[in-house]
Formats: sequence, C-alpha cells, structure tokens
Amino acid sequence: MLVGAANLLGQVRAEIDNLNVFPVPDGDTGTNMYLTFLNGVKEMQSLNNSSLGTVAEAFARGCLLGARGNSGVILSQIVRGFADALVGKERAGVHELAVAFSLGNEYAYRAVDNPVEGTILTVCRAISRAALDASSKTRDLLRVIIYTYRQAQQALDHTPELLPVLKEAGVVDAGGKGLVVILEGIIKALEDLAVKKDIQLFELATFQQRQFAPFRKAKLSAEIDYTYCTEFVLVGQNIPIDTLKKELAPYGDCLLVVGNEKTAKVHIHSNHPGLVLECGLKYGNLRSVDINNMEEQYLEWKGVPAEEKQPLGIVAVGSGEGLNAILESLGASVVDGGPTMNPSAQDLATAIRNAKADFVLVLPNNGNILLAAEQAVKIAGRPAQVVPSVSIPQGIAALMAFNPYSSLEESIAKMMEAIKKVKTGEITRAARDSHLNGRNIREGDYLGLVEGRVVTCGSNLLEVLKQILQEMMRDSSYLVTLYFGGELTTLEAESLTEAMRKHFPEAEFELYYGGHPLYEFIISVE
Amino acid sequence: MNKIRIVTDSTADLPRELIEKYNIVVVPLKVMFGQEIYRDGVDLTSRQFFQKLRASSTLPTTSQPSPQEFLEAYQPLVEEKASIISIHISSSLSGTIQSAKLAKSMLGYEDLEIIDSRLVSLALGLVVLAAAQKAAEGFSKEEVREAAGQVINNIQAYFLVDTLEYLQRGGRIGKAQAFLGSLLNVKPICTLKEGIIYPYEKVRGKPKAMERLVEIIAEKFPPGSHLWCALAHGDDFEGVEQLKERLIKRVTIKQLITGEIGPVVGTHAGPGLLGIIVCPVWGVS
Repeated sequence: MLVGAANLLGQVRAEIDNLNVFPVPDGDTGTNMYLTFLNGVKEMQSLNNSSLGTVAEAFARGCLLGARGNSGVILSQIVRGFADALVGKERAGVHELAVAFSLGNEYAYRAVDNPVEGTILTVCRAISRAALDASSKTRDLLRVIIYTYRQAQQALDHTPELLPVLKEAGVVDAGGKGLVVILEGIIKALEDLAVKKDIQLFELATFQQRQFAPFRKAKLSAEIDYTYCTEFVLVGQNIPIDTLKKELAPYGDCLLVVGNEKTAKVHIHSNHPGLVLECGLKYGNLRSVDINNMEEQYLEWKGVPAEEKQPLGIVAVGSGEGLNAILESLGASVVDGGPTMNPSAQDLATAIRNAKADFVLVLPNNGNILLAAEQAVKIAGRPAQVVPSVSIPQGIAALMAFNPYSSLEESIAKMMEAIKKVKTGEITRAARDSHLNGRNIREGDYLGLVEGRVVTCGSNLLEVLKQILQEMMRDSSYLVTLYFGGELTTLEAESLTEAMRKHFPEAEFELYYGGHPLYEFIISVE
Repeated sequence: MNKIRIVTDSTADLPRELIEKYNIVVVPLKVMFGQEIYRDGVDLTSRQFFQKLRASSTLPTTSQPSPQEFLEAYQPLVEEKASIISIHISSSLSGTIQSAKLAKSMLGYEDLEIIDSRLVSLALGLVVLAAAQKAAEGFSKEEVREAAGQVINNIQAYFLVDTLEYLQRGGRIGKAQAFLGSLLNVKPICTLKEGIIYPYEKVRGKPKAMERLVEIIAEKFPPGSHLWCALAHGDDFEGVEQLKERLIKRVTIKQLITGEIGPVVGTHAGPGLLGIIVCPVWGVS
C-alpha cells in the first residue's frame, strides 16, 4: 500500500511540477498528457485510505474520463493496463510493478490501429522491458525505477532514428517525452520520501545525542571543545549539500547534514553558532533553530549543580584530608575544623548559606561543636537544622542514612537512628602524665576512648587497639571501620589492621586514611 | 474480536520460555563492543556478554532499535490483522519508544498501541507478562491495557549495583548521582521512580545490602500481601539464589520469575546487580 500510494502520489507531485514546464514540441501533447494525468490524480485523491488496487483503479478511471488528444488517450490506456494488473492487490513490490508496466504496454499497443515505432509506444515498450529486466535483478524499488527511466530516456533519444519526421524536425517524440517525464517525477517523489525518512532518522540520532551524549563524556577533566550544540533546518531552492558540509566543517565537530537541494537539516557542535547560522543563510531560509549550551548540561552531569537544587543538603564538619574526602563523597559540604578541629559559627553559617538545597542539615561530628552549630543555624538566615552527631563515626553513619530526595522528617529520623546504632572509639596519645580512673598514665602512652570515656591505656598501640575493640564489640557486631591519622604511617596502620583481623575473625575490618590530627585511630563499630 | 499480540523490546529481560509461551514479539536493542555490533539477546546472550565485558578493555555502548526494525517486527502482526500492544522501556532511559512511534506513523495501522512503561528490565518484563497473560486468557484489548496500567502503577523495584560507574558512564544514572563516589565500600540501593533511577539507601558491604533489599520489601508490603515477584541479577547466580531464599522466608510470593539481565541492561548496570521487583497481586485468575 505504502509503495503503491507513494508511487502514484509521486507521479502526482512531480508530474504537476514537471509538465508545467513541459516543452511542447508537438502541438499540445504536453498539456494534453498533463491534463489527462491530472484528472486521474483528482479522481484518486478523492479516495481516502484505500488499498493499492482501489487507488490504481480510481486513477485509471480518472485518466480515461479526462483523456485529451491522441497522446492523452494512449496514456490513459497505459494507466488502465497498469491498474488492471494491480486489481485487488494490497501491496506491490518491484515484480508486481514490472507486470503492471507490461500490461500497460500491451493495452497501449492495442489502442492504436496502426502502431508506429518512434512514438510513445516505443518508449512504453522500452519501459516495460526495462522494468521486467531490473525487477529480476533487484528488489529495490528506487533502483528499478531509475534503471527503467534510463532505458526509457535512451529509447526516447533513439526515436528520431525510427521516425524520419522527428529527425527532420530535430526533436524527440513528444508523447515519449511525456512518459519519460512521468518516470522522472516518480523518482523525485521517491527520493523525497527517502529524504523524509533520512530526516526522521536524523532526528532520532540527534535526540539520542542530546539526551545522553553530554553524560557520556568520559573525559573527567572537564574539557568540552565545542560548547554549542547547533541545529537548524534550511529551506531553499538549490542547497548545495556537499558545499555546505565543506563550509561548515571548520566550525566544529559532530557535523551532520542530511537532505536535498530543497530541504536540509544541519547539526553541529560549535563555538560560533552565529557563524554557523550565517553560513546556512547563504543558501536558504532558517527554520527550527535550536542552540544548546552543552557545558551547562555537562556541569549538571558532573554533579556541580548548575542551577539545580536538591531538596535536602548537608553541611558536615571534618578534619583531615582523608576524612573530608569521605564526608564529601557521601554527599556533604565539608567545613574543615582546622588544627583544633573546631570551626567557628561563622564558618559554619557561610557553609550553610552556600549549600544548594532548600533545607540544610548540619552535622557537627564533635561534642564541642554542637553549640557553634546551633549558633550557625540561627545566624545563617535560611531553613536549617542541626542533627546532633558528636563524633566522626556518628556523622558518617548519619550520612550513610541520608537521601537528598527523602522528606525532611524521614531523613532526620533515619539519621538519628543510624547515629544511635554506631559505636565510636578513639585512640590518642597522652599529652602528659596523669592519673585517671585508678590508672597511671605516662606522657606518650596511648589512650583508648569509647564514646569519649577512657577505657584503656598503655604504651603498646596494638594492645590498646585490641582492648578497645574488645570493649566495643561486646554484643555481636559486624563491621569495624578504622580511620587512621595522627602520627601513624600507612604501613603501620595496615599491619595493625591485619593483626586485628586475626584476633577478631568474626568481624569485618575496613581501613581508611583519615589524615586527621591528634588521633591515631578513630574507630566505628556497627 | 481480533487476536491480541504483545510486543516489547529486549530490555524487558524476559526469560526465553516465557517469550515463547506467550508468543511475545521482542524487538532487540543493540550492544556495540568497539566496531562489533550485536543484537541484544539475539547475537549475544547474557553469559556471553558478561564474559566479553570481563575480557574487554573498552566499555560497550548501546543503541535503540531503528524505526525500520520496528516496522519489520510489526508488519507480520499487521498482516494477521492483530490488535497490537507494544510496551517498552522508559522513554527517559532510551529513545526506543520514539522509534516505535515513528514506525507506527510509517505503517499507518490504527490498531497499534504503544505504551511507555516508565520502567526497565524485569519490571518492564512483569508489565509485559501481565498483558500477555491477560491476552492469552481471552480478555479484551481494553482489559489487557488496563492490566498493564495497573502493574505499572503498583510495581516497585529496588536494586543494588556493585558500582554506580556503569550507570554514570552510560548516562542513565539519573538522580542516583547523589550517591556517586562514596569511598566507603558503599553498595547503593536504588529504585525506579518517575521513569528514571532514584537513590534509595546507602549500605556498607554487599552482604548487608542484600539483607536490606529483602527487608525493604518486607517493610513496603504488609504481611499477608500476595506478591508477584521478579528477581534480577547481573552475573551473580549465587547472589540471586541467596536473595530468593531470604525473600520467600519473609513474604508470600504467588509467582516468582528469576532472570539475568541482558547485554543492554548489563552495559548500563554493570556486573553484580541484584534486584527485587514486586507487584501486589489482585484478582488474577
């Protein structure tokens, strides 16, 4: 149906164009054929959504009724034969088409009492033969028709050899010419259809690009060479596609140009969209211009929110490059506590203000910072609230439970729950001799604290670590995370962790570099 | 009444037996490893894909079916004069629906309905299955459509991935971007919402994450609810078995399908995906 209808419609479109400028070498052959054809078209267009057979039938009927002049009548017979071959058919492939041309040819010869070679009949016969020939070699409709057209053209050029009057007048047969023009029209229409399909596929390709390509930039160093994704449709008379491609190429990359001399669609990534448009303007009028700043899209992708806000944001206090990196990776804006691990209320307030969220939660991660955090929330001047974490492990646990798309109440509830579930341990060195809880502490000894209370001390770090873990893992716990900092080297930290793994085989150990001052280990047990 | 035929695409990750049982037409997307192009599930199976992924130095990419391929899939059904219901991957995750719609406009066949599931993988699969089952039972086109709609509205999917990197590189990470880059051996649990991927919860360590997946389902669906369930995995047969064992202890499952994600979904999720997709069952025969 598709094929047949396109075929006939093609005949229509092109026909009207072409026969309008038909050179009339032999009286009004051109006009006659045109009007005959036109009547067929009118008859066909009055149908709505019919099968190929019906459409062909209507076309033939119209041609018959509207037949003018000798050539018009013969044409109508050709069409009649064509339609009869397609009676009752829903679709036609190249084979059916060839058969239709054949029958048309037969009818044409029958219609004339005295068939003379060198006339429309000769060309018609050539068409029929060529169609049969080509359809046996390929199933591609366009190729068959192009081949047929070429053979018809040849036969037409040969007509002066067959008919002396033509040779004398120095012309080819008008009726034959009419047929050739019809074929040309069909080809144009099919090509237009192909271009339409091309444009649709093009839209598809650029749609995909637009949607997903900015995200696909695996270059982590945010280098976008060409910023503006520029697209437009060019409408004109004689658009030179190849020239256009050459001229646009230097302006950027990812250049796509599809279309024909009347309509072209252009897509390019460029830093000079204006120049690109100017270039197009040389050849036609611009339509559907679309320019997108891909860098903006890219920044969004990278997580640097261009304009986008999240409903919930978090500011967390950290200390040490390792810990800060971890906190950030969990979604927080980090305020560094500095050497004393204590930021000012001002520092915190600034961080709150800078957060790109509708509501900001604050994790102080240290008992000493709670007050400053409350103060910061008061002076920040935007909706914010403190979630009272008093240690890094609590802060991390809270961040783990944080989902920027949850509701405020749900988030706070989940974060508080997580804080309750985690145990915090710390190992630091005694600054001086002292006496605590019945123990004698010497300067340089390691102190083990759980939830801020000293539970063990000693001069051997491994022993202290073992003891503190024993204390923390009284109920069956499962995941131990060690963050090392202070004076500890990576090697020491790793060997200590290995020793603990051997000593506590049921637990799972993870070691991370915290880089924080003062504490050899910050320990979280969940 | 015309016969109803169900069409979907290869991202539905439906097991072969079910596709054949219900005569579902599956239009494949494509996976590209460098210059090699494979049709999802046709030229490349899940097993082959994950093997190739491990061996390959470059990451594969994917692409949607062309309108022509949809045309070719629809054509025989049009000739059968069937009522076609074509259910596909979320339009926010792939341009597949666009191709289907273009094919429909090229065909000019009225009795063809294209549904954007706003889902993917076995979540899409369950929608397709619901439609196929209803169609097989002789229900009308409208009833089949409604059944599909009900599943779409009530289905919930939660899944964990080994790393969000694959989703990020393929550009489908959606809002789960918020969970990117966690340095603490975090296994992000994500969900499908509004047609894209949303973050749900961060959990540390895969064993804990698997436990949480089951717990989430138990939390979301009250005891006594009857559930239709699909378990999806990427190259983790052991994991999905463990998941199954734990799940059936916690909830009542009326129908359970287990499937491995195909190459296209695998490209974006990466190996190690474990997912539970659940839909409450209502009055299905």
